[in-house]
Amino acid sequence: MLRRLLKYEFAATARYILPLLALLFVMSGAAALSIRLLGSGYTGRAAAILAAISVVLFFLSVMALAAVTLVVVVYRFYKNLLGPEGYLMHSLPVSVHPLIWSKLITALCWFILTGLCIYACVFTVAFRAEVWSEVLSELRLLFERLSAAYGIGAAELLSVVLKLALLLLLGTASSILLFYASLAIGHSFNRYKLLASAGIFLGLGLLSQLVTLLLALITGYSLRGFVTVLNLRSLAQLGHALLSGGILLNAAWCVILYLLTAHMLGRRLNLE
Amino acid sequence: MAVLECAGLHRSFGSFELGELTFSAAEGRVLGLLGPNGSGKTTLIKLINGLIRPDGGRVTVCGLEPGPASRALVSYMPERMQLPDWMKVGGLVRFYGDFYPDFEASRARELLSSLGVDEGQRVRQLSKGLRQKTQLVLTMSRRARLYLLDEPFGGVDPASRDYILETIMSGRAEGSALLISTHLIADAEGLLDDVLFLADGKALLSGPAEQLRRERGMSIDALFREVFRC
Repeated sequence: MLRRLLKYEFAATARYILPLLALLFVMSGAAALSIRLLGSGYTGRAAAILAAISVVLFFLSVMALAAVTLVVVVYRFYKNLLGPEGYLMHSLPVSVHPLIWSKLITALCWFILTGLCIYACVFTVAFRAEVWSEVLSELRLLFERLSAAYGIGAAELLSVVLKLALLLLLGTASSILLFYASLAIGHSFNRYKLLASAGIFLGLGLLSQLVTLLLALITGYSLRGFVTVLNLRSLAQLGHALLSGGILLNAAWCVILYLLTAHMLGRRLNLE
Repeated sequence: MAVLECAGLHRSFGSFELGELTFSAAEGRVLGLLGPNGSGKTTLIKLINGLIRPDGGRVTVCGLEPGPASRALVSYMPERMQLPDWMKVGGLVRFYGDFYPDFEASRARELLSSLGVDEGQRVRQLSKGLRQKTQLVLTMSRRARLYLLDEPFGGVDPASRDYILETIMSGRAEGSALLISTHLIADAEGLLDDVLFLADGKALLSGPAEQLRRERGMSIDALFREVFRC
């Protein structure tokens, strides 16, 4: 059933996001081309104005894509599960879990795709191909020196990259689930549902910030003697530990928000 | 054999209280849930379909408590338009086919075609009456054990009501039970085998429609007007 739900989720959201992705590619192409033209001797006033306009339009398309992706993801959850369409979705022979997972997976896929496309386009506009090869060779040199001096090998580097990717994924998931949980709780109210959702969003957001701050203080206090033996090797170990801690914290927050959302949709649903 | 059974079912919302209700709907029977606006008809239907949970009592569909398994046996049409307005009618037929194994897509397509609804049309392009009929066609194209129709005549013209009535009568699966909530009794009178009168969440009167007509010497419509006279 999850696969079928995903099919309809992608269809419902793609109609907003794909045209904006296409616009982003067109705008980044136009901006990159106008900048290259400017750099290759076309120094007239018209070329400069064209380059400026295309760069501004490119950044506007980046902002539009980022904003619309967020709005579509949140609005889709609200409209499809808490609005009139909720009667259809909650009458399907599926539990609330595939309903939530289908929304979450689709949202994560769109955030990853739009994020990657935005970064790729920004770098394409900002750097020429020869700059890229220079950056890559410098990075390779840095890694070789680190490896020779401190024994930081490829496996460790890969582990850091994977942990960072996981942390980013869980951080994005927890942000999406924060919206879902707030809407699901706010919608159980009989009146002022959206206002209540906004209040709960702020409250839960504040709570997560406080918990993170508290854990950071505790971690900092318990590591107070660590700086005395600081070197690059121990710094790498500290980085690993902090990444693992961040992953655990985000995973726990995701589980809490998911369970809250599932509980509210399964037990406290209040469709109008 | 009872398809739907409710025993001591109750649920409260602020000052409104539904129940305690005890009744059943048997195979092959049509139960009319009759009452004025705000009498608790929609709340009761939501309880049966598991959209809200009871504070107490029990509801079962073919022995199953409301949940994914029972919803596979229930075909539900809410009072509100539930169809996503961005979807095409053909997409909705595929949607129902994807999620309900008992959905007869060919029957739905035939009925939609007879209504003049093009499968390429989006729901938002349909008139209010056609949307209501499309929703009903999709609901009645399932071979369900229990049909729950919440105010199927609401907001449509008399000619459309005839179509809706005909679709309900010809569409239901053999041996299924049908629960229809309405306050337009005259339209549904011929359809009803049993009735349950609801007022302020309480059962005022219930029983076989024919027996009530005989005992009271009047139609269900006339009885409704007498019971709920302002």
